[in-house]
Amino acid sequence: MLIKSGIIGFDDLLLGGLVKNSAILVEGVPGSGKTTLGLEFIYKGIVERNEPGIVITFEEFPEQLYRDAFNYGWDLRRLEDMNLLRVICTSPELVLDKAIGFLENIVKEISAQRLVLDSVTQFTMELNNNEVRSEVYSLCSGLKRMGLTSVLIKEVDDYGSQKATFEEYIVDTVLRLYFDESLCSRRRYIEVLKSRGQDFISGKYPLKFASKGLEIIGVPKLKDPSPAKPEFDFRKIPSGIEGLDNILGGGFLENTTSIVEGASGTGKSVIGFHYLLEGIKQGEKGLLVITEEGAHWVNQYIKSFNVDIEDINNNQDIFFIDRVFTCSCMEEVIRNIISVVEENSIQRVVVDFVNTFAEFSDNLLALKKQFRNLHNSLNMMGCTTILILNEDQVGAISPLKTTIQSLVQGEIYLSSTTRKGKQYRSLEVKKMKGQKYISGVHLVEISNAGMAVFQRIGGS
Amino acid sequence: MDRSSLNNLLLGLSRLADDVPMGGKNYVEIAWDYYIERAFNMNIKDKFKPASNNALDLCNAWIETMDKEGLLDKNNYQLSNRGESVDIQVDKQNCTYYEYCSTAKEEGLPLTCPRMLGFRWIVTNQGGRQYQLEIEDFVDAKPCSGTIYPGERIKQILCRDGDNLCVAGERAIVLSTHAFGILVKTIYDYAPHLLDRVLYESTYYSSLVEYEKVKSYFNNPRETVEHLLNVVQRLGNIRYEIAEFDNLNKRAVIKAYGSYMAEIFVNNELSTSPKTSCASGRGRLAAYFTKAWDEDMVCEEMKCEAFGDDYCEFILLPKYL
Amino acid sequence: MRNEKMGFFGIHGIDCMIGTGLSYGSQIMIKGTSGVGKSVLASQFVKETLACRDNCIYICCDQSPGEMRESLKQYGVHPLPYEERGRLVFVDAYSLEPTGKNYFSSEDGLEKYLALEKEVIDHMVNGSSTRIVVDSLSTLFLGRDNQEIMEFHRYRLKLLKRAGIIAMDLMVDEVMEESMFKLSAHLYDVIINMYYAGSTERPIRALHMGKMKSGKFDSSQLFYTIDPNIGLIIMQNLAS
Repeated sequence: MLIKSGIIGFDDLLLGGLVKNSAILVEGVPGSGKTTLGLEFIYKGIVERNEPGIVITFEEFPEQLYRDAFNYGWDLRRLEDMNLLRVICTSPELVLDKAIGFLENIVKEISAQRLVLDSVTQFTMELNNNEVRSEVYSLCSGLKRMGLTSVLIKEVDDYGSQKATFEEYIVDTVLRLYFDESLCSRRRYIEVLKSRGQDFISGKYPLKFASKGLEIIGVPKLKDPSPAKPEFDFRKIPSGIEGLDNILGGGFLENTTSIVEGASGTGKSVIGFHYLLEGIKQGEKGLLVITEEGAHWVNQYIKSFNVDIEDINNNQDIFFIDRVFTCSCMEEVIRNIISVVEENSIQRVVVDFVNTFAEFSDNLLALKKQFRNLHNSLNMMGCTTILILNEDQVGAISPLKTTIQSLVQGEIYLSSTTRKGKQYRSLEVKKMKGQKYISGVHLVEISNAGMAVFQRIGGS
Repeated sequence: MDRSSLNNLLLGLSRLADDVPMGGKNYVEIAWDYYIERAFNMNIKDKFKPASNNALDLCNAWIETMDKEGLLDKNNYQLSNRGESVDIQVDKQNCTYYEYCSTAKEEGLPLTCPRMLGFRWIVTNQGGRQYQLEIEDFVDAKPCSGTIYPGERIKQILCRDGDNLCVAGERAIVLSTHAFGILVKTIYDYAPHLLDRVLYESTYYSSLVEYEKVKSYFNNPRETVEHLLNVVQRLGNIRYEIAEFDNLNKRAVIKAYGSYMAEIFVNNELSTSPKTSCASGRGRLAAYFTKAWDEDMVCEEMKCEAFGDDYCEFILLPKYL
Repeated sequence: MRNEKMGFFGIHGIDCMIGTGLSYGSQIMIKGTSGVGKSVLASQFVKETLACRDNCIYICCDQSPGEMRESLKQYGVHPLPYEERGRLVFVDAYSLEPTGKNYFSSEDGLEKYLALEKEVIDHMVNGSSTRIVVDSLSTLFLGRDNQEIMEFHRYRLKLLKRAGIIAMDLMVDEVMEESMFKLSAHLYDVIINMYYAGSTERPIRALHMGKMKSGKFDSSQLFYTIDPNIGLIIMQNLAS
């Protein structure tokens, strides 16, 4: 039987939750979030599952724990007053002494079902190796016998030694927390190394200290038994730019992703706006992800199209995610996008522009994996997406572009030249998988009324 | 003559007036005027003693004399004057000519009031001044009403002058559509580029003259145009209907049924393909409205029976637009 | 009796030359020097178009729509009722500044012209055929390179033929290179060449039908005059 931890993303990592009455080892360097994870496990168990819990600490005073917990809005004292929690600062000997039955009494007192012990490292300091092994084994058995699902915290200095320690053999599940201080920021990760008796999702996933607790980001969702997604008709989604829709034979193919690329000032964002505004006309909600600027700048721009921005905001026709660069990682951005799309049944998504995502990681493979994740998720949710890519170096082959080129179904290229002192913009559809389109270079004009595309002569 | 025979005779006159080209109630009035003149001279003249020569006194004297002769009951009549006009009301239920009027109305025959014609005749002939008669519609439930007022009687557009026919005072001939079609076709064969213009201008200039001759009889442009269109209809050319008449903006829409020009064009194959054909209709209407609104008007034909439409539709508008 | 509707010019002498008429989708080129009477012929063509209950689109490149309207009135058709009913549309490709919805600037690309032409055609009254006159197409081509012109020309006429529209393109001799005329000639079903014949002291206007596809044509020379109220009057051979 699986129990829910209550920590966001944690149960998905373990494909449903923790095995009841199992022992989980959570190891990590100082500051990686072990104690917080343990506390949240207990707290959520009490308030969400009505499973009373025990916190045993060997080093930190309870006051310290209460303070740390309160930062997340967890009022541990109140739970103690309600006899749902015990926070005990004690010595390892007392815990290990079977004769005293210290733990059994407390478990019986509050009918505890969860326990966190911080930390088992203390045992190794007090006891020699053989004794530690025996005592920890005995402890784990005892905890299971008492019907507890336990989190045992272990301090490590580094992960240099890859050899598994004995604790890792004894417990049922081993979680490792990482603390990466490179790349001008601190990033924490969690990884499931082992889980006896259950499947889990391998790999490192970002761990975020959010306002109400920990969040593990980017874990693929469990397949939910909700009704099957409707069959897609492969209808065309109009862009809102007449000439462009003629060239595409009606619009973008439903549930596809296309990139719109070009240098600055060629009209890429304008295509994005037209696309979303057309969505309003069709009764389809849209999402605009602005990676660099704030939403207020977009409001100004949209107003220049003679569109009532107040109306859009009041009716929630278009949602905005802005200042993406403030997110800690791309997984977080993607998670935000997916959650907004899901909650609001959004059908049109524009990301302006995707270049910013390259800043989250140097690793193109990881980037590609993230884009694939985003692309698949949006397509499965019925979205038709435009990714805007800025290319300011003419002729340069952007690594980012080559990364995502193979993933997307469509590619539209915008360019601009000057002839006889007049600017001429043009548009070319480089690819549109699964649909016919008119190839060649087409004239583009941008005015107060927006963008107009004029099909090239001879194209039909 | 007994009452029934008199009424039947009048009905016969109305029937004839309806059949005769350019007929209408005018013919009944002409016939009746002649009858009154003869009867007055033979039987009434010496007994007729009006108080004065003004219209009302003449009318009152007429009633008195006729009453004394037993030809009518003066109590059925009410007279009142408005300036030089006299308003007349007759109690129709006791009127000798009730059967004539009600039957003519029912059968849609040209209808006039024999009694009120009498008033008009006596005032015109004994007062020494032309008077016109205007009669309100015959409605069974209400007394008959009419007014005689000073005015020239409108001359017949088509009439006989000795051996000659006259149209608007000018000698005229009657031509069948077959004969006219041959004439038109000859123009088309020898000078096709002129046909349209010839047809348009010939009716345009003659219609200007027509308008001039009748305009004094009417109070406003619409009445004049309606009269002229009615004349054209009675001449058997085409039946017009005013669909829109905008005095202010000088725009009008006229519908026309039974166009002889459309018939001629189709029968004589006077065009390479079906097209609007009534250049003469356009000329006529442009002329009438040019005169009516004192503005150089043009006429475009938007629908045509030659094209298979149910009617011809003409749009009138100022040339300067 | 013919079931298919055929189109005519509305000028007797020319209509005699085309016999049973032009099918819809035919393309006509009217070629001639300045002042020889191309626009007059076009005005009569418009008059014929409207009398046949067809719709007409007139692209004004060499004079303003206002001047063209006066010209039509002169030849006996007042354009306003037809414009009000959407049967006649003028496109202003002459004025320097935009004058309304149907406006084309000489600085705009030919793709934009095509888009405008298509939009106007699509908005015409349903259920009637359409004819389009460009006065003059050579002006539209001024300043553009030959390849662009040829591509546009081919593509446009193909579209108009497919749409069943009778197109009349006026071309001014002095504006286009002779080679360009020759290259584009094969795209047209009917070419009428208007010129001055006779001596320089006593020039006389003449026209010659240069080509007609799939139908007979009369290749003899016709002389004509221009009457200020009627338009072109072809002086027919008195012997015929």
